[in-house]
Amino acid sequence: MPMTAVNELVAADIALETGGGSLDDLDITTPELYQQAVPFAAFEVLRRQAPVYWCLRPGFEPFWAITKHADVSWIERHPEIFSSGSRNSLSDIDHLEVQNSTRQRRAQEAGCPFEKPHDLLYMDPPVHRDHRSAMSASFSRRLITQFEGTLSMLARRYVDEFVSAMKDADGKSVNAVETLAGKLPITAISIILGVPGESWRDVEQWLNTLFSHRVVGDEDAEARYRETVKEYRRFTIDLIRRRRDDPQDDLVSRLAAAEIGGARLTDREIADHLGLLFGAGYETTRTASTMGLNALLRHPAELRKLVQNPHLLNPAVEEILRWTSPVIQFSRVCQFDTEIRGQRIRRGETVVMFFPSANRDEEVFTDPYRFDITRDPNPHIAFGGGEHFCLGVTLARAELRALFSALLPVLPRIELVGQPEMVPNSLVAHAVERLPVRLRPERGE
Amino acid sequence: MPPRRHVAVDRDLCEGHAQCEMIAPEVFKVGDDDQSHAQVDPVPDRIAGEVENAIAACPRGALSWSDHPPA
Repeated sequence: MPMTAVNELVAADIALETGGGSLDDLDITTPELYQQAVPFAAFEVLRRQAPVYWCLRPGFEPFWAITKHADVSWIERHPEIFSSGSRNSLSDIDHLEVQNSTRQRRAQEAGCPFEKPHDLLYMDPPVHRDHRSAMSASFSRRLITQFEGTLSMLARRYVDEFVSAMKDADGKSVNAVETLAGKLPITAISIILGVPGESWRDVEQWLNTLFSHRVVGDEDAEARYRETVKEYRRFTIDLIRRRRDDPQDDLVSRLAAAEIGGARLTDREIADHLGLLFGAGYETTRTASTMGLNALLRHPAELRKLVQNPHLLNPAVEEILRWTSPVIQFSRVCQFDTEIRGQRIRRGETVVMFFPSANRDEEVFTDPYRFDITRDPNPHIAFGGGEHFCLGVTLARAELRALFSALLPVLPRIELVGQPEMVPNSLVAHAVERLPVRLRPERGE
Repeated sequence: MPPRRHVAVDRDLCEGHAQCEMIAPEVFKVGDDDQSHAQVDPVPDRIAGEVENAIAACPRGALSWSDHPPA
């Protein structure tokens, strides 16, 4: 049956159920939407009515919206059918515009083409496996377990500073993102990569600028952005060269020494890898930390349960990951005709996997819209799965455990002063930039 | 489906996340090489269910049933 006919049938079906609304009215692609909240209601309609849905929306190349847990998992485990090589995330036209102009400018500066970053997100096996295994030892369970003591110590220090900042604010709100949630992720990824301590806060500033919202045509912002890119690039290339000359026990040294396909990686290739590792290591964990704090503060019964039963930390962290699902979507391009749930997918078509939707799948999670820190089992796929399963998974979990463990004693005294605010215009990940909180006065104060 | 006797670990995919070790501790153990290794072969029928769950839970999709004993 042709796709349009299938969609008409599905549309007719939902029209019956919703009394006139149509699937084509559902909005899952407007970036501004995700600034407020994930469109969970629309995703639920899709999961129930059209889990493999041909999505035609102005401003986007048409794509298949994949919203079920099982389908996302299946696609991720078949990189031979679903390639990451050409397009790996859904972008609206404005975002593509920014991306393309950046690449054109870099090409002019460097005198060679910059088509796509040389990083793991854009690779397929077998190349992906070679590059990934050059890095995976730095994120192994063994290594991260040894790192846990350091993470706990750092987390306690950052929480102390956070509490001091709230006390100093004297009843006014502080931003939990910059005063707390961004600290441990940037330090942890910096240590693993081999960034010296005196540069951690520089790296944080650079990344904050690089990930902030860029308005096309805002020349001041563009100039600031370009200056940051230059500083950041100078720093990374310098770090790579220093590690080539004098290898240390860190990831940059490991990449500098790696031979893949009989050749060393170039500085530019390593710099691209680092760009992804900084971004993935920083932004997503910062978001999970902030939105996890937000979730606990909005669910006082769950917060109390955790404070009274610190052994629930592990399941609480898993529930925070499911609940916050920092990555919104990744895309793949189908390499040959195949089928998902009986729906024919043709070669060259794009499938978009929506992780927040998969993590609310009623077929997998009982009471999926309930934030339940004792949820068991909790087979969420906030880290994806298969070939591109999050490389930093063990680190991310260890950071979240260290942070929330350090926060436990003070958690009951923190209160929200407003809503979380997201970096606008991102369809790839929820990047939270502000969560206003303050400290309740201690009893007797 | 191949007979449920041997379990194979894809060396390119396994990174030692140890989900299998938690689900089927009798069968899987992550070694110092950050890789999971089957400790018993063939898999006894009474724990085939656990191994089935471990295969499904492997986040990298590195585990599968196999016709052949591990190399």
